[in-house]
Amino acid sequence: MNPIGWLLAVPVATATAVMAGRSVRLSERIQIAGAFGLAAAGSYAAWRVWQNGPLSGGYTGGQALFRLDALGAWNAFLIVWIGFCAALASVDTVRHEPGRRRKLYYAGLHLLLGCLLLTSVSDNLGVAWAALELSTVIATGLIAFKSDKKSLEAAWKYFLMGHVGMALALLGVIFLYLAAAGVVGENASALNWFTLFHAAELLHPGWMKLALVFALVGFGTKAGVAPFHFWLPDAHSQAPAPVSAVLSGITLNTAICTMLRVFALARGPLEPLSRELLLGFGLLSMAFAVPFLLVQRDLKRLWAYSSVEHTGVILFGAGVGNALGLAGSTLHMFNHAMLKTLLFLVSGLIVSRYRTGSLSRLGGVLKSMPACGAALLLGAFAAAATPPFNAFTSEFAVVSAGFQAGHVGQAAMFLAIVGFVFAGTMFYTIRIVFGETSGPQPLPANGRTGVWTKIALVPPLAAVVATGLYVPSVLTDAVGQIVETFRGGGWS
Amino acid sequence: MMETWIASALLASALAMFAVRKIAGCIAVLSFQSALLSAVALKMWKATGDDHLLWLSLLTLAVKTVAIPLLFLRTIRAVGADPDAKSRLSRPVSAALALLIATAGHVAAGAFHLPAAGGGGGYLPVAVALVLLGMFLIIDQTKMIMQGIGLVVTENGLFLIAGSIGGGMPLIVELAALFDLTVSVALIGSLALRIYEVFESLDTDKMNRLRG
Repeated sequence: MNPIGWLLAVPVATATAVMAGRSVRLSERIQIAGAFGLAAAGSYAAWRVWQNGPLSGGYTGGQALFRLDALGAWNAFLIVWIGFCAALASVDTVRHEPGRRRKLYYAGLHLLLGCLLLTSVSDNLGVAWAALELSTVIATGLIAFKSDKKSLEAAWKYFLMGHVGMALALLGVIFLYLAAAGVVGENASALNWFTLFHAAELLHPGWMKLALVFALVGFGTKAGVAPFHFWLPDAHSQAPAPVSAVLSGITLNTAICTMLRVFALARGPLEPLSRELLLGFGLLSMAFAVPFLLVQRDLKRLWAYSSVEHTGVILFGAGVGNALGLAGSTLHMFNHAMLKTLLFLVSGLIVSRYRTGSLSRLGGVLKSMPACGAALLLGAFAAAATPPFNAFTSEFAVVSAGFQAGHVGQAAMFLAIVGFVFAGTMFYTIRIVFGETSGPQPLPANGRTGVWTKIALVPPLAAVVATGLYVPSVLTDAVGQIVETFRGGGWS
Repeated sequence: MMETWIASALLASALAMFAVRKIAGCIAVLSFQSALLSAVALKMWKATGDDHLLWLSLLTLAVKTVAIPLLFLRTIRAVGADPDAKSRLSRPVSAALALLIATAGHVAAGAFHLPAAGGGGGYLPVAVALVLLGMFLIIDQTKMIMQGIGLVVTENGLFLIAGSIGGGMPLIVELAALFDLTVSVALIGSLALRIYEVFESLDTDKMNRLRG
C-alpha cells in the first residue's frame, strides 16, 4: 500500500475501532496502538520522500489528488510525532471521565490528526482547504471537552473565528483558481499545487495578488498570525493539555504550510509583495505577543501567546526568502512544535496537581514536582530562544538571514522583540519553578503521572535539548530539499 | 431578466434576516436563500451544459435547503431557549448598516472588474454582498444559532462568487465544502445543547470570562 494511504487510513481506522471497542479499556489500547502505528507510518513515509523524492497517489483523470513532497513530509512527520505524544498523554488526562466521553475524545483526537494529515498530503489546494476546515470542527469538539463555562466559550470563539478565517481562505483559493484557470483550464488540476508551481510565471498577477491577500488573512487566522489571532489564547488555554499541544504544535504549522504553498506561487513582479507581506505580518505577530507575555495571569495562556510569537518567527524567515531564512523557518516549525508540546504537557500536569493555572498562585514547582519543574524550565528556555536549546538555532538562522538579506531594521526589531519575550517568559517561569506558592498546596503525587505520559514527554524533551546542539543529517537534508523546492529548483 | 429577479431575491433574503424577529423565521429565510442558490446553479447548467453544475444544484437543494435548516430547527426545538433573535445594535441601526454593507458589496464587486462565467456574471455583486452580510450577522447577532446562520450565509456568498466568476469550483472541492458545512451545523447543534445547559442561555454576550 502507498505510504500516503497508510497516513490517511490509520487515523480513520483507529477512530472507528475506538468507537466500536466493547470496553473503554480496549478502546484505550486501540488508540495507543493507533498512535504507535501512525508514528511508524508517518516516519516511514517521510523517510521515503526525503530519500527517494515525492510520493503521489489518488489518481483521477491522470492527475494525482495526493502528493507528499519534502514540505508535506516534514509537516506529516511532525503531525504523527506530536500526535503520538498527545495520544499517549491523553490516557492520564481523560482517565476520570465516563466511558463514552473518553471514547469520543480519543476518536476526535485521531480524526483531527487524520484531517491535518489529509491537508498535508493533498496536492489540490481546494481539498487541503476543506480538510483544514474540517479540522476546525473536530478541534472545536475537543476544546469544549471539559464542558465548563470557559472551555465552551473558548470552543465557540474558536469555531466562529476559525470558520470566518477559512471562509476568507476559500476566497483566496477561488482567486487562485481564477488565476490558474486561464493557464491550465477550468478543471480540478487548476488547484493542484504541483501543476501550479510549474506554471507559476504564467498565473494571472491580478488574481494572484488577491489570492495572496486572502490566503494570508484566511490561513493566517487559522495559523494564529496577528492581528487575526484572538481566538488562539482562549482555545489553547482551555483545551485539555494534549489537545493544546496538537493545536499549538501542529495545527498552526499545517495552516502555515498551506499558506506558504500559495505564497510560493508568487513569482516575478509579485515576489517582493509576497515577501513583504510575510516579513511584515511575521514581525507584527512577534510584536503583538510581547505585552501579553510581559503581563500574563495564566500559565497556558503564556504559552499560547508564545505560539503567536513563534508563528511570527516562521513567517519572518519565509519572508526573508533566502536559503538561510527558509531553512531557519522550516527548522523552527519543528523546534516550536516540540518545545510547545513539552510545555503544554508539563503545564497540564502542573495545573492538575495545583488545581490552578494562575501564575500569581503557582510556585515551588521544582520542589513539589522536580521532574516537571526541570522540564518546564528547559522548555521555557527553549521558547525564549536561549542557547543551547533548539529554538535558539532556528531563530539565530532566521535573524542572521534577515541581516544577510539587508533587512537590517527588521532584523534589529526581531532581536529587540526576542529580548522582551525572554524577559516575560523567564520572569514567570522562574517565579513558578523556584518561588513559593501563594495558592493551594499541590495534591500529593499518588502516582498521578502515568507511564504513558512519561513516555509522551520523552520525544519533545529529547528534541528540545538535543537538536539545539546537533541536528541529525536526516533533518538537515530534508530542510535542504524544502529550501530547494521553494527557491524553484530541487526535484520535480 | 430572470437573473435580476433571482439576484434581488437573494439580496432581499439576506437583508430580511436583520428584520425577522424569530430565529425560526430566519431559518426559513435561509432555506429560501439556499433554494435560490440551487436555482442559480440549475440555470448555469442550462446555459453551459456543464453537468457538474446540475449535481451542485441538486446537492445544494438537498443539503442547504433541506438538511441544514432542519438541523437548525431541531436544535432550537431541543434547547427550547428564547426563540427571538437579538442584535447588539438596535434593529433599525442594524438594518441600515446591512443596507450600507450591501451597497458597499455591490461597489466592491464592480471595482474589482472580475470576469463573468457563463450565465453567472450578474450574480457577482449580490454574492459579495452575501459574504459581507453573513459576516455582519455573525458580529451583530448575539444568539449562537443566528451566528451559525451567518456562517451559512457567508458560505452561500462564497459559493455564488465561485459560480459567478469561475463557473463553480471543481466538484470535489464543492462536495468537501458541503460536507464540512453539514458537519459544522451538526456541531453547532450539539454545542448549543451543552452551552444552554451550562449558561442557561444561547446568548453569546454571556460568554465573557476569557480575557487578557
